[in-house]
Amino acid sequence: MNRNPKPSRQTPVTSLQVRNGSACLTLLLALCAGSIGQTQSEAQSPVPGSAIHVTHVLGFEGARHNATGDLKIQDGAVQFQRDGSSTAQVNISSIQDIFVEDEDKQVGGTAMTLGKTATPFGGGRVVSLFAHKKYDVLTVEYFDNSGGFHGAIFQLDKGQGQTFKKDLVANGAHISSPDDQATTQSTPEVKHENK
Amino acid sequence: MKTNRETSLAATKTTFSLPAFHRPNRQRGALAVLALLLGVLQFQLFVSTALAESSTVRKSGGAQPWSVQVDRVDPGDVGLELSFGAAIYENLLEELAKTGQFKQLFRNGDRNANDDPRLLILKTTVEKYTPGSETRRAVTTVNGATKLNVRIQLVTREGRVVLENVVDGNVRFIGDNLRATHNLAHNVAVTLKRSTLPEQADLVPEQESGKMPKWNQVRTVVRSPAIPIDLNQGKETGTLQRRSQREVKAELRNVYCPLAGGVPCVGRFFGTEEWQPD
Repeated sequence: MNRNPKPSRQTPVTSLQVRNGSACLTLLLALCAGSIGQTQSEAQSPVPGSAIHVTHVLGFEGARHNATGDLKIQDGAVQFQRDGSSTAQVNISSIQDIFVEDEDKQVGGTAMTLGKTATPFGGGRVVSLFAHKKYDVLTVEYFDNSGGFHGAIFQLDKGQGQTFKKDLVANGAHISSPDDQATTQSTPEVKHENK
Repeated sequence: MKTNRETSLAATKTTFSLPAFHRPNRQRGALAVLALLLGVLQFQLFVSTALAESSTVRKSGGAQPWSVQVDRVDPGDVGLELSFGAAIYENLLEELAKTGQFKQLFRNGDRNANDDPRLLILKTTVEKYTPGSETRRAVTTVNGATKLNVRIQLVTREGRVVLENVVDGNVRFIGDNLRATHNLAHNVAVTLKRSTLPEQADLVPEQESGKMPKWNQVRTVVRSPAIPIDLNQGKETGTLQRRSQREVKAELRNVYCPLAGGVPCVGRFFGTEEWQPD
């Protein structure tokens, strides 16, 4: 006769899930904030002639894809030195064109992506809203000794691309159009579709 | 009885000497099995290698493989980001090298390509480009895809198109925007791998082989006032009219005009021949 409503068995489990979810979310947000804070502190214009920390995306002869390292101008050449590894270099006189574009990317890499996927209640999407960062993409087009064309792409912290481009031009690199000095906007949020 | 005892003794001896008899035999048996396995393995390797070789020979028609020179990407008028052009070019070189389909790969402008007698030039023209956003992809999953659509042409030195195709490369879920260029290059390499490249003999100009030129096929077009071509990078159309008894009315489509001056454009005529009575 005593039919007092029993508390649902799901409640502790749900609260545990919520607690886990919120813990996961907090961790991801902390990681994200840390990453952004770190990059903001790094994102300062380099001293001309000094090495800048970049990620080599592809195309620079003798350097591995997605390798991080220092890019600098020395002895009439652009040098890319991987962290604690050998140096790849290209003569500045062989550079035919340089472009700097903006790119917006998610931070955190694979670990962050997995974390976001594992976060319940769509928390990962919320994190994605904040876990992105703007980069400069530096494209250097040059010819090798055989006359072969290369297109090297580097990812730099925001604001460093233009400075490095100016340094290269000052050291004798060719660019196709001098009025192309301004950063080419490659806004990823473009809504029109080019057909 | 004696015989029985001898027999039993012999049996006993045999029983006692069996392990001693089997030990070297077992070792020999193991060696034999090992040798047999190795033989089978070698045979399988030989068969697979022979099959692979024969399929390669069949694909290339028994002729020497072609070398290919990857031309710079023509960005068209679709507002392609400059880094994308370079990324497509570099990824194409890598993906084509992975397939091993071509004897040698040359970059655009490589002087070593001039000495290769069997050289094809890979031309890439971007036809459609939809800029995407990695953040939009991460937040919405269904929105923000980066899409690329290019026309690839394999042409000979003389400008004859031996292969033409349209290839897509997209990034829809995971990966940054430049990932689309990698996917595109991979798809181009797969497309070329699946296609059959012609023999050298197939590339003899029609005039030399004594056949009348047919319409609705690939022809080399020299840029001249007689053939008005709107030079808008890959979207040219024009008409060709031959004043003779047979009048050919043909529309020129898909013309590729290299940026360098003095180089013939390559296009495809679609049209009909009409008999004009005197």
